[in-house]
Amino acid sequence: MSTDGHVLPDTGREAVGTPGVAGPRSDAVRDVLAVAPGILPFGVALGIVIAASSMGEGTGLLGAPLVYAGSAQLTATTMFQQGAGALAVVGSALIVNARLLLYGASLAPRFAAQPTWFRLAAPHFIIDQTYLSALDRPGHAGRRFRAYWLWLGLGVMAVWSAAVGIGMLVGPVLPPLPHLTLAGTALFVGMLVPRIRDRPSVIAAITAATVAPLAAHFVPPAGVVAGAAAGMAAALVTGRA
Amino acid sequence: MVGLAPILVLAAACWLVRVMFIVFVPAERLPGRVTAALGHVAPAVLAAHVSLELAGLVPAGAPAAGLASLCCIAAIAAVAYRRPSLTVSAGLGIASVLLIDLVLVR
Repeated sequence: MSTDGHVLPDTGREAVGTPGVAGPRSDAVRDVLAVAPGILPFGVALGIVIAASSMGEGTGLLGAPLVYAGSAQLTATTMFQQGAGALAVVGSALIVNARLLLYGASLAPRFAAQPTWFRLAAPHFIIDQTYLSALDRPGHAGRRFRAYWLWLGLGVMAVWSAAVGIGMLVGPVLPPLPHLTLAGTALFVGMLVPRIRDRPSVIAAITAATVAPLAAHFVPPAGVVAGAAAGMAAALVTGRA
Repeated sequence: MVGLAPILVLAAACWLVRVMFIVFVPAERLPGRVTAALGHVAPAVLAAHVSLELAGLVPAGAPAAGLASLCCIAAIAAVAYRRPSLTVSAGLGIASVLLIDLVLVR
């Protein structure tokens, strides 16, 4: 939570698991193993979509670590399949990914004193799961954060890329699983519930959950970021009241 | 066939979004209100995700599967409240998928 203008780390891990006091590598491995069951089904689902699309398998597989944003790549793949132009595809995918701006701003204090190469390259690992995992490891700073973040980012990226590859391979022979993304939703629920612990967080969650589908009704790619922005604003107002 | 170039452009755009407030616009230059609001990013983004997913899980043609999905998510939330564990939540999610798609929908 924020108190005096600085973003302090969210300490939801107290409710979720072990605080960030062990070695950075073991913490990262633990966090990769914790989020992997939720990432795998989403990656497999994306792989199935890629396999059924006109996107080449090599392009789809390379896109997994290069784009490293499931929602954006899914949006792009679907829109390419529908014949949309490159500009429209990239624009829509960026709107879907706009929440990464918020994650980057929130994590910025932990990247501030890092070497230039790390500040340029390591933000590539920012996704929902790595951001939330890092928030729950406030004990890692400086070199320890660097080690933790690299192990976490590379580990999650390996899981994600493997899942997409598996989806492309087994997609054609799997029975239809139209609710496969439910597993990813379950992971988000598991991350959300321990973070609803005071009035501002309750207001943030309720407002975001209400606004997101309404916004998505009018501009589908903007649902998450519009809901998140409304939730953050409502929590801020509530916290000051 | 979609070439590699659009994917590379998309990757570059995603990288730019990620580094914007780390490299190009230092977060300490952001207005105080924005910085304070960033403390609420996690519950807001997660709730928005969950809400959108739930809205998409209730298609008009399969109300039983939609209802079952909602019940599963409610049960997973209750378990997460009593016993916070990402592994347990994700495991229950996978079990829910198998239950709904391979047992109920058949």
